[in-house]
Amino acid sequence: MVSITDWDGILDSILPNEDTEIVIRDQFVKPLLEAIGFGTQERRPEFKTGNGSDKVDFAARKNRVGDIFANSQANPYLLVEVKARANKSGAKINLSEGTPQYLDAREQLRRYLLAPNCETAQWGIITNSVHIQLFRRHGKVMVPETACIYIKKDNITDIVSRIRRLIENTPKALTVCVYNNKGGVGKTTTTINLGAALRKQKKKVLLVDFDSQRDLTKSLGLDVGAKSLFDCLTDRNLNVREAIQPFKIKDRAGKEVRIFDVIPSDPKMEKYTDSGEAETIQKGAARLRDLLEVFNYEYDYILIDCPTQWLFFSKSGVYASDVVLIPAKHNGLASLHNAARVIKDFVPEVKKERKDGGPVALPIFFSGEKTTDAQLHTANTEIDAILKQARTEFSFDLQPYFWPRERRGISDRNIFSLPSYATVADAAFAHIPAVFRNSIVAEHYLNLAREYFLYE
Amino acid sequence: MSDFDNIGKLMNLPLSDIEPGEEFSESEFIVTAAAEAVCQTGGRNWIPVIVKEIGDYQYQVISNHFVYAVAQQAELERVWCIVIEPSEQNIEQAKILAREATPKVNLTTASRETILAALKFLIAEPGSALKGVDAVVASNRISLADRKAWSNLSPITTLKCGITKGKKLDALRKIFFLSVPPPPPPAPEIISIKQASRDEIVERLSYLVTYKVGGFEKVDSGAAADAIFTASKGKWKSLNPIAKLECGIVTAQIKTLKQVFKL
Repeated sequence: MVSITDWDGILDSILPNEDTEIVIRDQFVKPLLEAIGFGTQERRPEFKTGNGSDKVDFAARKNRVGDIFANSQANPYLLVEVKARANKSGAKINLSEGTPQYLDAREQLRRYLLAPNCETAQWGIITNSVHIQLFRRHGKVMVPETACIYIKKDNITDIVSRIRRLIENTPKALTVCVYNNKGGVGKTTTTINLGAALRKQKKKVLLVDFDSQRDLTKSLGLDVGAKSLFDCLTDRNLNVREAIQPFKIKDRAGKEVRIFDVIPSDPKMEKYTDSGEAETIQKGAARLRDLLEVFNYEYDYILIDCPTQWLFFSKSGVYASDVVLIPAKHNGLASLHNAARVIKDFVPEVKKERKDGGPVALPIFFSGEKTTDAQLHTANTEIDAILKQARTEFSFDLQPYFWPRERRGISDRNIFSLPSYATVADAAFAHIPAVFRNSIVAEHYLNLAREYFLYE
Repeated sequence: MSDFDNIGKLMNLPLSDIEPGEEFSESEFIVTAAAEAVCQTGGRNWIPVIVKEIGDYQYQVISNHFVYAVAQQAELERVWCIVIEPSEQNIEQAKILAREATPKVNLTTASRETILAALKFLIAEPGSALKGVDAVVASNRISLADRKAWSNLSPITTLKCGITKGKKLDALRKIFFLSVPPPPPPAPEIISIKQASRDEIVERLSYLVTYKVGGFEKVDSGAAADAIFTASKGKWKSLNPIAKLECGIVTAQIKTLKQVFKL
């Protein structure tokens, strides 16, 4: 039974400058939890996350037979971090996206979601009853599932039912677009080998080759299946599942083992730009996302390989993804500038269109190139200049995307790097991911997967 | 800390009351120049020496040995010091904070991330013997190995991660140590295998499995005990037939069995 919550009354009852968090918790968050399906026995205030003395304001989970969450306090499903509307000195706590308070709250939630007692937590909310945002946690990644919404009397009911709908149907997959606006940075190699490394960790993986150059398709020795992805884009009656090609390799006994699924690229895609087919694709660059949606409950990871130019194919890939993984090169300064464009311009452009908080860019990494200290120094000097320019000209803080380890009081400008191996390039000719041919390469791609995705 | 002692307080102590701690060396240039800097600013050292009390009005340097050396060079009459509670852990902590000691990592329990970070640190040190070792590969393999059974670091050399006996392994000792497992309790009394009850067999096999004696950790003690107990042992002239029962115990392990069984 769903009871109607008197949200107007609730919102009216909270002082505009309420500075006591506990009031927000009692008057707003408790009814919110109730409305999204967590009763008194299914939530716990001041939940210990297991990370030092950290406590998250609320943890919640549906009760199971013989396991009352309020009693067992084990395996939470949802965490809620609550703020007041103002601090004790009367200054507003502004949780709208991008403010320092918002960024702090988001980091706090991320820390809680990754804490030892919260391994099972899939969802997180930050709110101060003025703003609210829902996040989904997938492995190590936290992605927004709604925008940071300004709460009003006329939208609160919608917000609540939307949150409820989302958390009752947690998707299995994280969709990752591997993209840099500069070519030759190892996008395809990364997609294939990251997919292979994730498979080795028992994850179910789908690769999507959305590049008309068809590098991924060709280097895995595949071709278009019964239906092509491109046809599915134009013809809504086609079943996209028929576009899937399994990628198999032979094990030691000579038996074929299915590694991951691939949606190959279609040679027709090449003609896309000059054939006038663009007009036949409804919703344009938003179409791919709709098409891939059916796979969200089937795979653990969906990796999309995109071409370089910021045109239909790349826009589609970024639009369809939860996160954007950006390879770069230390010896290619253009790749750094282009990475900055992706983070500062392209991702926000898509985010504005999507209106659901996504996608988000992950910190860049350097892929497979031998490097000297001098080159590294040049790269870091260039990054410093890029960060300064973004800060002064666009008030955009790029630092978390380039130097994510940098902290107050300690400078750590290390950027995650994959070393280069000749075997990686050779593997393309053998139509087998390098991860399956060389154990050292495998360990480095596993390291990449752990750095960005896998929770241990 | 109380009004009647010096613990935790910043004290201006006579230099002659302070004994040097461990041996410390620094270039003459640096010490002389630092002494000059102190003298030019009124002879007050703004970074304190860390000392412990070793008797009434007697102190010994624990950490910040450099500042003590500078005070000597500058011939200061009194030097600013912090007196610390002299527990072993506090002394170690003060040395770690002053970068005079390297923190240690228990390799028996360390996480993969910790091992990776520690290896990266060791490899990056100037003149490191570990130069060329792939920290990612090495930390992966070390973290996957059964470290609980290690009594020293040598098993690392069998992991094929570029860390060989000699200088490379020695370099690891700077940071890594192993918590020594407590010695196993005495083995159960030796009994006749022909007369032993099933429970007595299980008890003895479990002992070998639990304390990983002679490669027994992979043996299923329940299944092996069943096989041994139900076998017709009348004609046995030794324990050797056990290896033919296909119960997970092989000929090489018969010798170990003799620690708890006789015929």
